[in-house]
Amino acid sequence: MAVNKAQSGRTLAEVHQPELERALAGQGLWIDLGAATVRVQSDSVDFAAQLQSVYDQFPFEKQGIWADMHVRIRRPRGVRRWVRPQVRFQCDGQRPFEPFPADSPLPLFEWGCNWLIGRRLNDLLLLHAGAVEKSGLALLLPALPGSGKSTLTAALSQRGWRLLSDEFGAFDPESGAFRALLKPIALKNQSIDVMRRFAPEAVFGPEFPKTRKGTVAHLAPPREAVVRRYECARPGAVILPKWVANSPTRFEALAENVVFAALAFNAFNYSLLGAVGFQAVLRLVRQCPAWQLVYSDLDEALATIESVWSEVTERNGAPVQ
Amino acid sequence: MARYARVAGTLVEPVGDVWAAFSPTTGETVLLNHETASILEVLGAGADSTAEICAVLAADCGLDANSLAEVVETCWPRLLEAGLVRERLSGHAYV
Repeated sequence: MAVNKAQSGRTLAEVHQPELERALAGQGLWIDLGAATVRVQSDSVDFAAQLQSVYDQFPFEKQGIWADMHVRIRRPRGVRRWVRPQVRFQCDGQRPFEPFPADSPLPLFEWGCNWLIGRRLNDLLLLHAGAVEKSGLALLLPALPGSGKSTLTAALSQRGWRLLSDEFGAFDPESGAFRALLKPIALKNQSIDVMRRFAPEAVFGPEFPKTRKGTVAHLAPPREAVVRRYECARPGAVILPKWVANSPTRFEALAENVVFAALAFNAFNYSLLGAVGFQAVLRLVRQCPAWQLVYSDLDEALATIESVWSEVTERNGAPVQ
Repeated sequence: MARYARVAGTLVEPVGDVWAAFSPTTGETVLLNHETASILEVLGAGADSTAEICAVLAADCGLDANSLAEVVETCWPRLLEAGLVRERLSGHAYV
């Protein structure tokens, strides 16, 4: 990806909201996620405020030379502007989704961008997994919805692990490394309060009740993760998290075939990549030790991961930090 | 007698206790047990009928070839559906 020019040097947090609104209403805002760039335009005042709350550490870029996705978050014209107002997601002239309520443009933007990334970034193998980095090695957290993946990814990102992505384990088959696709972490329902208690200093966006997934709130990526979003990470380990209420922490090694299935059959574009995807998953399975982590207590879960990480770094010849 | 060929470009690799096989025809990956993966391996080495494959497998593992025939026969429909093998037409050359 080309590096966008015309950086103002300011972050979104340092920009007054009216200036951000003008940028969004004009040529748009370029949001560089690491492995991809989104250009977004919008006439929604709510969107400007919500975007600013969770992309606060991202550079304020009003002009770029390349964007992988050109997105518009628009208020419809006509009666819908006044009666039960809505916002629409548009990309390349298409409207692939139903509109959202006008006060919820951020969940629509996040959902739509994830959808686009999953369909367009086919130079990368996009595993459905949380991804964090430590000591130059990536820890992958693949899981089905409701497994506690986002909560665990969020917790790690607040305890010294660099967030790469909450949604995409973006593996570059050519370089053999993971790249960042850095976006806010979408927390749902009770996970929101769990993380508020776990990391009171963390930055949250507004809560959106009554979405298709219940109440959703977004956790802003930490500043270090944003600054280091071009840094790749070598494959380190795979942990399949599973949150079970009141369960003691259990940590068990996984067989290669289980890991293969968890990565390949849960990826966004595995089939599309054909033999390249097959070889990439095989490489990860062979390279990464893997465990299942059943947990109910976040602190215990993190301590368990930390305790095994020295083994992972030694195995990979990376320094233990 | 039906004859079969392994589809060119098929990839088969061990993963844990099973085998992962990628079909360039379907673009899909399936997990195979040892018996089915063995058939693919023997197919790739030149045997192309149930009888020939059973003979090779029997020689490799010390079993009676006749006892393997039923196992091999039940594997063909799955391998064909998965795009890992194709049926050879008699009298036609194949690549």
